[in-house]
Amino acid sequence: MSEGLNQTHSDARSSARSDELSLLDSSAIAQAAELGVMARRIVEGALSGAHRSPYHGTSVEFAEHRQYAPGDDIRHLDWKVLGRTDRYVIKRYQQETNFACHLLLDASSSMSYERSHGSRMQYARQICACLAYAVLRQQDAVSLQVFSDRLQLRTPSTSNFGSLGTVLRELVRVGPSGQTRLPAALHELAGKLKRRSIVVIVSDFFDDEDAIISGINHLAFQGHEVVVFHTLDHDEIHFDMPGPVRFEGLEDDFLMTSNPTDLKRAYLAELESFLAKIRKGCGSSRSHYVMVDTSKPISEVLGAYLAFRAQATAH
Amino acid sequence: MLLNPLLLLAGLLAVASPVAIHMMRRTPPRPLKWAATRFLRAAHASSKNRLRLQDLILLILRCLVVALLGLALARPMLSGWLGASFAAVGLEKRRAIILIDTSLSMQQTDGGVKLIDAAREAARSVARSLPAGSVAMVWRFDDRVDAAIPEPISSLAAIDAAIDATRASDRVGNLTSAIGRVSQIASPEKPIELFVITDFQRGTFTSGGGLESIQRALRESSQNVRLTLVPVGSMQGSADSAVRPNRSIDSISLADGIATTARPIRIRVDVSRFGAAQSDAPSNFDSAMVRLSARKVDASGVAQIQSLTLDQKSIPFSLSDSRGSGVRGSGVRGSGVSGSGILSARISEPGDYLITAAIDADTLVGDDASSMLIRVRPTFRIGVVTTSAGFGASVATDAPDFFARRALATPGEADSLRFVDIDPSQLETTDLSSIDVLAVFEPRDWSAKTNQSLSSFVDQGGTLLVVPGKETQGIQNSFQGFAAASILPADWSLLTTNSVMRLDESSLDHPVMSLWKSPDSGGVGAIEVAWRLGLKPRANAAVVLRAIDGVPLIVERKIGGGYVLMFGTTLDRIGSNLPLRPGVFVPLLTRAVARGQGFLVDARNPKIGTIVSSAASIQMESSVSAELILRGPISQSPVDQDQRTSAEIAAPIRVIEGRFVAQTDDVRLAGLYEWVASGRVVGAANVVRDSAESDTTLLNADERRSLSQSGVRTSPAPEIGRASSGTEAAGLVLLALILLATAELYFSRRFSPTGNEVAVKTTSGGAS
Repeated sequence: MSEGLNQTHSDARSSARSDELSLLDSSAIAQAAELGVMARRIVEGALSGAHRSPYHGTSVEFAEHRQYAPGDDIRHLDWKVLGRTDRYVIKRYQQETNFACHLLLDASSSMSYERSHGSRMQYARQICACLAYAVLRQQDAVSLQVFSDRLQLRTPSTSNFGSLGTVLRELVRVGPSGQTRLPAALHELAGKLKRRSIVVIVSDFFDDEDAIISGINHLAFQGHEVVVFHTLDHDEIHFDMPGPVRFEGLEDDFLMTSNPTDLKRAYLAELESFLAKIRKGCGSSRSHYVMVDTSKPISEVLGAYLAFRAQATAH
Repeated sequence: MLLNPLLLLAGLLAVASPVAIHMMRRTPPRPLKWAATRFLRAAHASSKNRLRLQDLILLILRCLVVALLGLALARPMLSGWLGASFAAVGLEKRRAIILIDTSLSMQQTDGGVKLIDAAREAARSVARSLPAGSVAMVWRFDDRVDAAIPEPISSLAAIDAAIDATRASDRVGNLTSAIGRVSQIASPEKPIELFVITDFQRGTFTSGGGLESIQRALRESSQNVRLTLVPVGSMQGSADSAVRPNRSIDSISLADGIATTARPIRIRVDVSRFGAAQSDAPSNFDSAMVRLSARKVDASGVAQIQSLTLDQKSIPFSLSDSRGSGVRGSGVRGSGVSGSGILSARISEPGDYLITAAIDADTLVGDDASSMLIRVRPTFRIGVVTTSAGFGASVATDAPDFFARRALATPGEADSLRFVDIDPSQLETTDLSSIDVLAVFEPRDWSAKTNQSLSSFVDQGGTLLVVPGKETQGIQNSFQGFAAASILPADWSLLTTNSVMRLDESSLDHPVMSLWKSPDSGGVGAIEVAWRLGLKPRANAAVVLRAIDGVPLIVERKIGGGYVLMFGTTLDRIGSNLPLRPGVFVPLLTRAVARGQGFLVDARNPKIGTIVSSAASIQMESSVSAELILRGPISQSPVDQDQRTSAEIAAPIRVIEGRFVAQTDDVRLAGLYEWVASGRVVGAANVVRDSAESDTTLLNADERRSLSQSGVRTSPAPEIGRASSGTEAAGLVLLALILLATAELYFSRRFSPTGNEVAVKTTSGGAS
């Protein structure tokens, strides 16, 4: 009897572990580790490092060498090694900086949108997992907050790499439900954050765009760097579906039978208007906007973003 | 106007098919959980009207495509200026046949204009009314069809030339056969627009099966032939039963069948009158003054030795009012009334004569004269073979030949008809070459030699009359030896019935009896036969007369150039009451005696439309070519000279029953013709017209309406090019159909490949 219970418990843990690991796209994690998450803004931190922190740190600890790769900042080349061995290596340091990254994940019902390549919620989880891994890997702090019709703190801010598992477990536990209340969540978060941080929003943004922009502006006004991962499905972006289709609303009782071809033009016009407002609002608050097509590999999306950030920070 | 209105109805019903097809092909919608509903809602709100409009456009296009398909099948006609302008630009090229009625009635003069001239003018109008690029044929019809231009051509000059060369014939009209011919060359791929230019004479429409045949032919070829009747003449708009006033000579014939120089020739003339006298006609329309004239036809051809006014007589019509409804019985012929009279004439010189009976010319001159070709002989010898006083006769009137002799020999005219008494016992040795007719009363045993002698006599053109005796037992006994005679036309048995039997008046088609077909001649129904033989015709024999029980009373057989006529009863008072009815007995006997004697030979007086043969065998010489030429008609007064262009018809010589005979049925005009071989006249024939064409009754309103309901249009020639004809717009409709179908394809792809429906149900208006 006892053995049976132990066996069941062991199976459950094994299954949860498997779910957690599935959130980590190996390729994406590798790239995230390679490129790092470079804060484009000056963030507060107790430790000094590569980040241009207003609090200059005192400890810069060499960690390792690695092979130079095109795209690496040549300031980090180890000239001594180059002079001695004629090899190009990059010096790696530990605790270059210390900043807090708050992952804000949309868990409303609309995130359950699913096509053959997977659900939007799963894609968003993977984005969050990868970013958490990258942040923790360079010993910055990360927290996970989830919102639908209200904001929930799922994991507190921590820089302990070992807390990655906690983050991943929370991500797995989060299920889509309720309606999107993103503006309220943004304002609530802005009121809670005391230190300037990086706020990463992963959402489909199906809410009032003006209110969303207001929330982002609120965060930006307080000095936070806001990064927006706007996750939309390929069909939502291009609306290329064979008809006829009976659309059933995920967050309400909306029901429509129509031929997408007939509505495509008007739909895309509405969508473009919406996206333009979001982009414009993000641009005005110097927030970084990333359009994510969930049909594309996550490594492609994150890789491009992190490369961009690395270059922007270097300059 | 629609040529196939039923198909339009079908097409309109088919309009429902796009809706049905749409409903059937509707793909069930695929359910999809959707997050971005706010954009869908907005898109739908802004597209709703547009989508509705698109759906409406598609529905209208599809319905129009189907409706136009039905309309195209219904073959609509554009009329008025629209049709004219459509045709004028040459968008619709037609294939037309201009069919001109050339029957005898088209020779009428109506309003000072001959109908055939009016028909030519109408034909030219029709040809000019055809759209640019059209092709046309010119055909003519009476009781046959003559393709003047057999293949479609576009040359107006050639069409005009063919129209100008059109002349009326003396034949009857038969539109049914003409439409049948047209239907044969028409096809759905090559439809024909048929313009029939006619005087609307009723006979033209009713001959050959009547209006039903025409309507059936049109129904069967409704996709191929579109018929437009183009009337000519001033009476086309007349009320029901319009009849042009016309008098005609229906026929002329020898009343007795005998024509000799010494004896007056009794000529029977039948005349008819159709319609009522016109108010401006002062002449008495209730009778006709008939004049006889004669022209001699000699061996070298037709030479007018003398033109004699032989006799003239006013023949009254039997009824005074041809328009009276319910007129029946004697004197009615078609819609008119008829009368007949016997005119006598003396011709002093033997030979072949063309005897013509004529009345004053009226609107239809072609039927105001009629001729017959007869042979006038100097004498006529009848050999009589009988016992002196008859078998068991005790008084003169009981002699078997008593009544016959007196019927044939008119007192005081014995020179023209001579009797030669022959003893029965001397029959086999008597030279019969000088005898024209041999009458054998109470025949007894015939030897084989007698049989051979009589066969030779008949074969050389003689006529043999065989009359049984009155003693039944004696006849039965005596005929046992006679029965084997091979020249007799019938076997017989003795009928033992004593009942009195009357004659059958319904079968009087034999030339000997045809005189009594006319009610004016008195009936043979009053004849009662008390005693008779049961004749059974042998092979090649014809029944001349029957009793009402169907048993033949006179049987005839042709042997070589002559005839054998066998009676089934005696010609005395015992066998029947025939001798006591001189009105029947005398003509019957004379016509029987004259049978085959060449006074009036059918073959020399054929009806127009039938075969004209060279009656006598042609003496084949090395100089004679392989064909004879039938030349004529040699004009005869008072017919219209303009219409009677002499023609030469080549007829190949064939061997028929061992004789060289030339034949043709290609004669268009009645009248006297010469048979010519290598420039030499070898014979003559008198072609007689059909009296049916004299009935000038027009098609009545009901019959026209019936035709109209069959899709036949009637349009006067001047209106052909304007409104009445119209232009078939099927091509235009098809063009529109193609354009609409293309538009439908374009829009259906552009709008919605699988149908277009929007239905929104939302119970929550909250933003998502």
